[in-house]
Amino acid sequence: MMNATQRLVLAVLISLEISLTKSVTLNLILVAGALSILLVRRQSLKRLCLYLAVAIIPVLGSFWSFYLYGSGTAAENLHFGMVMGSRVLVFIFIGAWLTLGMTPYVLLASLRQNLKMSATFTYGILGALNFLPRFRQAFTAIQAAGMMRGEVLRWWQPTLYFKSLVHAIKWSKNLAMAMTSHGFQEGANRSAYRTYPMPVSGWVVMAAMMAGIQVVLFLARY
Amino acid sequence: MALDAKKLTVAYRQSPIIEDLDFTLNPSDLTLLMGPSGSGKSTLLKTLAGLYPQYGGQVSGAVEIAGTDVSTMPAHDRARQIALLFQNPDDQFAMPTVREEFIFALENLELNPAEIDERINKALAKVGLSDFIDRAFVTLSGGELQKVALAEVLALGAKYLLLDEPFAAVDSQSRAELQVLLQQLSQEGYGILVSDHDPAGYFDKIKSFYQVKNTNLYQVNRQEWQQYDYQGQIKVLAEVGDADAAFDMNNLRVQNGDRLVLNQDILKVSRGLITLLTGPNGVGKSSVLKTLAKLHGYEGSLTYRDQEVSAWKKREYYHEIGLVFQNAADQFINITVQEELDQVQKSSHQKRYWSDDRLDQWVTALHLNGLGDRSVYTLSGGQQKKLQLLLMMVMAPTVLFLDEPLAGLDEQSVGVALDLIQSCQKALQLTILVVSHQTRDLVEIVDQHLRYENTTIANQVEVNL
Amino acid sequence: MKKKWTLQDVILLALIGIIFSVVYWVMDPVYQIAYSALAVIGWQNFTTEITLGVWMMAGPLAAYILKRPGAGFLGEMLGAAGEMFLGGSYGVGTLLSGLIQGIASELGFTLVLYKNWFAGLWLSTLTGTVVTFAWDLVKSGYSHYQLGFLLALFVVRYLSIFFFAGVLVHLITKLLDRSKLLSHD
Repeated sequence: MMNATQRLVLAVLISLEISLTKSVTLNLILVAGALSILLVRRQSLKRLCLYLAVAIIPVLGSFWSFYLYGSGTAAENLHFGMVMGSRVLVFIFIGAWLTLGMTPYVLLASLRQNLKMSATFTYGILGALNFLPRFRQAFTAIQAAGMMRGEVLRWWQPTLYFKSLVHAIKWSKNLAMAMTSHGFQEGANRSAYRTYPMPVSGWVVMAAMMAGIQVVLFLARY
Repeated sequence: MALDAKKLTVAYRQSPIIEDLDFTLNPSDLTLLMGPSGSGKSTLLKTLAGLYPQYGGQVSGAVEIAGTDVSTMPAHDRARQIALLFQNPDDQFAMPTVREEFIFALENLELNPAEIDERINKALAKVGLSDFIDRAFVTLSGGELQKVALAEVLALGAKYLLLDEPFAAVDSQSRAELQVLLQQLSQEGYGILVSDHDPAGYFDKIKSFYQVKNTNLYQVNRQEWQQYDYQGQIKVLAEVGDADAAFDMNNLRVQNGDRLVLNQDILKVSRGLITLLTGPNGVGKSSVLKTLAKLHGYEGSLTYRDQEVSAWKKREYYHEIGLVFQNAADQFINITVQEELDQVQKSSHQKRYWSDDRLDQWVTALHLNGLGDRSVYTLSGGQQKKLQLLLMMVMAPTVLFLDEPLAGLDEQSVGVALDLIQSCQKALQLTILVVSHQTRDLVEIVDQHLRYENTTIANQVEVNL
Repeated sequence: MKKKWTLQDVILLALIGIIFSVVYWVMDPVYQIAYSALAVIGWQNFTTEITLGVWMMAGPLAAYILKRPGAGFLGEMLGAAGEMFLGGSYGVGTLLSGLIQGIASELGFTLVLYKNWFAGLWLSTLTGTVVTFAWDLVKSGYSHYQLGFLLALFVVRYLSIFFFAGVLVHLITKLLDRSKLLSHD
């Protein structure tokens, strides 16, 4: 229905909308909607529980701070607490819907074709993603190197970040050389093996969603 | 038509790496370039591939194919002519799977999907990896990675193939297969230049042989090739008596990705001795050293002073043991040479031994004097290795693991480095385990030898040189 | 000033984003623990303000290292996007925060017209605080708080951003400058 670009646009629109409105009803409807899509698409139960687990403290936290410390009446504070708590839930489940079955590769390739993002950015970022697991090893080695010298490198000190950047600088050069050697030239034309069209149906669904949200906002009293 | 270097000079931070070089690689050539690491092979190959000066170095003179300067060609045109295979197979792929990587490369040439598919299939078939098209790179061994890298540049259509120490992480069987493949490709008309520090397996296949020495190349006559082929030379170490164990392995299993690299029954690493660990490329020496240094997970049992390595607290463990990293820059935690030296002198476990005089003496012997204000990251590869070794010798933890400590050192420096290792070890009764290709040099100072083949390590008095 | 983004610049920018996406992701549970701890003394509302500076390090650092318009914004955005893909606690809300924080940090460098990177860094701690605080007034209902409390929140937020996205980033860049890793000679 929607391709990756459209999903991203819709997710950002929804989060912007709920950031600027205060409807518990809308938030809960969105959570229910996202959750049912996740269930229909057979998102693993373990993953869903993980989402709920990471949600608990921020949801309760957002609720309590406004419920207890708001400047309005008790009823206003309760309402605002509920808005802020449910908002976190929407963020988490819309985020889960957005990333469901979507790889950074598909997202970046779609953005490139749909929004004319430059190939340098698309492939530079994609290439960099390969290093994610290697940062973990590098990080362990940096800490160990410090301890072997009798120094514990703390996260609020600059050395850990500096040493990570030493790796980043080396890797960026090596990978850029390899990609250049494989024919990548900044600004040159490239062919496209796959296409990521934005179907009209996607825009229709998106418009319907946004219209529905306005209707809910208009009707909802809480 | 040929690949020609004309009056080529390449300098890095003002110091020349290659000077005034004239060199030609013809179609159907298979040429071996030998020289120790740090001698400038990598720099030369990157310049020949047109990547320098774009990515570093100051270049004068020219590298040309049929009269066109390679450094000024757009990358997509250059890729059809010339290709470079990198030393570290992990750093040369932009995409996570074989298929995506080939598509990325062939899209650069503006090919249509049908032709992309055809070229991928043809190239993978050529290296015998047709089944690997949908594999993720993280699941491939070093040998498979280099075969895929080779297939990728064949798919791009390059006629001149430059390979920079391509077998550093490749097991001996894959190495032999790749060498045969290179020979076939040269017979089909490809011009191939391969750099290596190990001549094994080349001499019945290559057409010419160069040594990198003093910033230039020297061609070696065919009659003299044999003297470089020191395969089979052996030195026998004296038997050592029964020493106490520093480390005990018992049913120890180490994985590297999906591959089991060590499956070790019972073995001890002796305390208070210098032990040399040797084994073919890609067998897993680095993984084992990292495991001993608590930087890599394991199953089974590995104990240090009767306590599981995994159960040791990091801070306490690294108080006792130190690793001299293969990549020198990983060792540094400060910026200038002087800061680094001051730090280790302050934190040394052997402050009494490491007096100012003694430190100065070694700094001078290693030709590191006068570099105090320099950033360690601007030192040459050899200077970095020497500084790194000195830093860890001054720290002098009870146990030291050395991963390729002599890489990139000139002959004179190798001698000083060996002296440093040996005199500290003797005076301070350190336990040292060293992994190195440079067995001819190290054999002079080691007490014991462990040989590592096919997932097991065993004591062995004979050392292959 | 260099103009066009090279492939190597983009990869480095993305790697900075990746480093901080991991830092940010690790910070999520830290935030929650800090929140619970501060709740004991009734100070939990300050959790965001105290920790926010950490979430704003990628932008100024990327801007200083790459010295290009847009680098600060993109660095912060990439860090946020990475945090979302790793499964951070705020889901798609992270993208929105990254967008605002990216603009907030970038603004400091824009105000000095991308000329004085040192001044830009310090200005970015100020624009970073003002812009994100204004956004929270709208989004997080800070307008529901009393004025004195708001002032306290603002000051704590500024101190956090000043320390992490200012002082710490400055110390990191000083190490980088001294190392000469980025000088091309």
